[in-house]
Amino acid sequence: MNTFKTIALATTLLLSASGFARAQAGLNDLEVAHSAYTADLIDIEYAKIALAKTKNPEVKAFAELMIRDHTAVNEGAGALLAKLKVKPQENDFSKALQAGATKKNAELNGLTGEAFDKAYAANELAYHQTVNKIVGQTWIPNVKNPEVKAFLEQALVTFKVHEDHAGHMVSALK
Amino acid sequence: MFQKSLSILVMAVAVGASFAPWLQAQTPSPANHAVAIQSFAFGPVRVEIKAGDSVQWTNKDFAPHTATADDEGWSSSELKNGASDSIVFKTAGSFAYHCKYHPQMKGVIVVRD
Ligand SMILES: [Cu+2]
Repeated sequence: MNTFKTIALATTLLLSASGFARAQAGLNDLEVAHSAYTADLIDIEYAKIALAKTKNPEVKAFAELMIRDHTAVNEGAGALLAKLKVKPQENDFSKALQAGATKKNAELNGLTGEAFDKAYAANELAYHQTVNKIVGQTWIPNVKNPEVKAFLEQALVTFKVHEDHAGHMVSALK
Repeated sequence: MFQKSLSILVMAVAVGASFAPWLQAQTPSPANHAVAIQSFAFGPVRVEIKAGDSVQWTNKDFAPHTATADDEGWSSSELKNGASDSIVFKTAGSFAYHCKYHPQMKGVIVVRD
């Protein structure tokens, strides 16, 4: 049931249905690593757009937080992959994530002022909700390598804090 | 050294002072109290120390954190994953602090004389 909800939400928000369906065929650990890394980079891209556009101090602080924290998580991922002597593998899911983000970037780039702030905040909340469900409900239970699992568990703690923070930002901008 | 301490003791007793002040003067070197930062929380949340002791924060999260006084009178450096920083507390008081990046993270250092 939860998986169904995750699929529905992710499909609506981020991805083409076919991209997500293929992704559910089961990613191996290195594909999960690549997808997690991509998801992090996407949020850094969104934050960079926000820093270039927003005049709202709360939105600016949130975007700075996203860059700081997601960069740190990706440094953690890089360190783990180097330690395990493996390379992340690009896959349909990470490609679908990137395709969804390219569309969203274009949409955000077309907005200014309060309209931008609201769209950015709403997207941050939706994006973190979606990614957190995938990480918590699909990736963590399915990855094989215990260190990759521990990495995802720690990353999820960070992303959940961001989800809460994004929720506050959405409310504050109403 | 022992001779000197003994003579101070004799004097203290001679003037009717209790042992306590003398013992206090001999208290060991300042202690260092460890606080871990993990899963966006300070642990332990509340630390009681003596004036002159230090507190050392170590960040076990990926996300960088700080330990920053609510009145901004003191702050650790930015602590990346695995990094530590210490602060010496010289004056008594209760010092509430937070992470400046994640203000929902809160702790308190209680310093006694
Ligand atoms: Cu923090």
